[in-house]
Amino acid sequence: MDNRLLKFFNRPNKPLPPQRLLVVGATSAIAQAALRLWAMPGAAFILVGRDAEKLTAVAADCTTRGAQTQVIVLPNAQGLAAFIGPLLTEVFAAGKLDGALIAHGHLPAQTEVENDPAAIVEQTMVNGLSGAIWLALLAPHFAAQRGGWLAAITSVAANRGRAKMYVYGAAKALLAHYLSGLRQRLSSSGVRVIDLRPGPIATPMTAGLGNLPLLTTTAAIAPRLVKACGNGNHGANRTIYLPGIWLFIMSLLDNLPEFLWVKLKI
Amino acid sequence: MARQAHNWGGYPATRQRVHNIFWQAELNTATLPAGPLLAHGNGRSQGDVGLCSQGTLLGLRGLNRLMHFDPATNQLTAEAGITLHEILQFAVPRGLMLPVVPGTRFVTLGGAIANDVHGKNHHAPIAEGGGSFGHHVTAIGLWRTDVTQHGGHQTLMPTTALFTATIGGLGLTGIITHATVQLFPMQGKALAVQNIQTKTLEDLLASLQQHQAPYSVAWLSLTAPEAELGSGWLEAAAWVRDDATPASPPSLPKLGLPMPLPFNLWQPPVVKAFNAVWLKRPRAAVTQVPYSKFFWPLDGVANWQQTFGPASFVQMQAVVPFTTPAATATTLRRLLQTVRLRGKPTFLNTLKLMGDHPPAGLCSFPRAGVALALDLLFEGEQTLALLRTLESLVLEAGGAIYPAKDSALSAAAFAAMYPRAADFKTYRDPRITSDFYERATHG
Repeated sequence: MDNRLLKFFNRPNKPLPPQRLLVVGATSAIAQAALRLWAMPGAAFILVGRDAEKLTAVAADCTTRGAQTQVIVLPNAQGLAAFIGPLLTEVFAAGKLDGALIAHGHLPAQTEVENDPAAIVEQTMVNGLSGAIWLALLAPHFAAQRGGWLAAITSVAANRGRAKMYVYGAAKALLAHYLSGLRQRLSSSGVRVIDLRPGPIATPMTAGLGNLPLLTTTAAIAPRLVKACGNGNHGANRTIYLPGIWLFIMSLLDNLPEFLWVKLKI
Repeated sequence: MARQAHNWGGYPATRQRVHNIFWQAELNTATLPAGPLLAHGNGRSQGDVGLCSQGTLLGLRGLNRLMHFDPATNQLTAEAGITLHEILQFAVPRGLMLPVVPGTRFVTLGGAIANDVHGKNHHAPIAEGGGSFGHHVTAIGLWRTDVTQHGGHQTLMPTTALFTATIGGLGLTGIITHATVQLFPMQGKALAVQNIQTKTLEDLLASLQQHQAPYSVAWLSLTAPEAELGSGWLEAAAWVRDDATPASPPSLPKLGLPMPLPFNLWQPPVVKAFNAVWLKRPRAAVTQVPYSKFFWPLDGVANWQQTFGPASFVQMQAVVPFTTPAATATTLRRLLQTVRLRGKPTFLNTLKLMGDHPPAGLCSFPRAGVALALDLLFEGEQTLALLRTLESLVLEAGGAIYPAKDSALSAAAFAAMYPRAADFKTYRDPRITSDFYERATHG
């Protein structure tokens, strides 16, 4: 291959400057892998989660790498909106945010939730609505500062309903749809909205699922995630599949006629 | 984070389900599966030190967070499942380096301590970064199933007997949760390697003794004709001083095999050709080699063991005492001739000088002498018989075999090579065992 062409494909990613970030679900495996790349002297993270002990371990990793951290332990789901509002006012009073990542999620066994109305409500809350609430409350602040990025982790399960995972998939689809609308709304204010859509990743969340196709690791996808989120105007403003091969797989599966899809055992 | 674990070389071919651990607090007897347990890191051990077929493997790669760094002392505390590669991503940009690195940087911190790994600088003074990995560990976090205080978690300091038993303790004294290691200032980006061609084993050993460079390793061919046994290259290396800017951390391999080859690439003619190219090709007297290429030449290709296809290989690494070049050459010649006669050596066999340091652990493998490492194609009972012969030759010479690479050591030989194994028994965690330990203690 032409030497210049090789150089083009192997061009190193420009190192990102340190950023001030809010990460919700900071103890999730994907968030941790991304934080490891974002952590550097000058970076500042507000790490939000539910388990104080785990958050402390994640914060220690970030501070060891030179970042400043602040740990926020969330109360129960009931008071979520009432808690987030004042928290964000405080966060933005202290300065601009370069970006925010919504990374929390929970994957139940489909058979445990599909016939249980209470579980369906809870799933929709955990994997869909809570992310939308965070984004709804973050959006005006980002619009006001006219820049930055908002990202949330959805799933390839959001594209099309599968018998084995549609309760989780439906909740993630809610979030994905919300992100797409928000992207259009915020496009004029220069805020980028990124739908990070991972395939199967070896994390605590998927530990009970046995062997999965194309299973990869958080460390393998983190560079692509960090590149997509970018900084300021530089970065994606669309759906990013992690790893990228899922764009091809899902564009095939999305366009499969329904009479074939219903017969698929996947 | 593999769901299924196996060793690196393919023998024994045990495949085991793994119970993955992501947080230190998950190490809790109330929630873990019943029965024997064993920590499993990144699966780089050759034989069965990392397997526990009667019980459950605890996958510790999820414990990969940094915990603390003290810039005044250059001591880094990290969780045990972090790989040395991941530690270097942190250390190298800060101008720091792990003092002791084994031939692959894709081993975990816990595994490096449990096997008390060594590098090409074992003979260098400990204060200059020599010795084994355990010599540079200043604290170990250990979780034991038979301790109730603090949920079984404790931090061990170097003065305690359990600390010494845990170094080189093959993961049997408890689950290593985290550790503090001493990092050393990195002296440059590359090493100046003196290439010394050797013709005979005596020649090789004399050069090894004579060239007291901080790093040294000899590569020798076992496929060369009889008269050329011992012909190869001695690489004696020292850092090229360069403090201008920190080096870049090693990157992940760009080449790799996504799946095993359908055949074994290392047929005798290929091995011969490879060795001929590697060892016969003329080299400049002094070459400058980037540090990552010098320390980890095989890490450039991910999953290189898959070039063996459906075949598997075993390794044998032994230290034999280094008395005089002539006497030691006789011992080595007996070992190498046995291998040539009855086995199928594969590529690259190495010889390293080992220093006369007090061992870091109760059952550490590194000890004074020369360390010979062999890769052998596994051919069933024939290979096991060969390994048993080699074992008796090593034993006769007063040497020891490395558990981390072993697949066949007998109980009698283990007791003789590790005389403090009897003391070690008292420090073991009663619920932790490995296939290696079962074999090497019960015959």
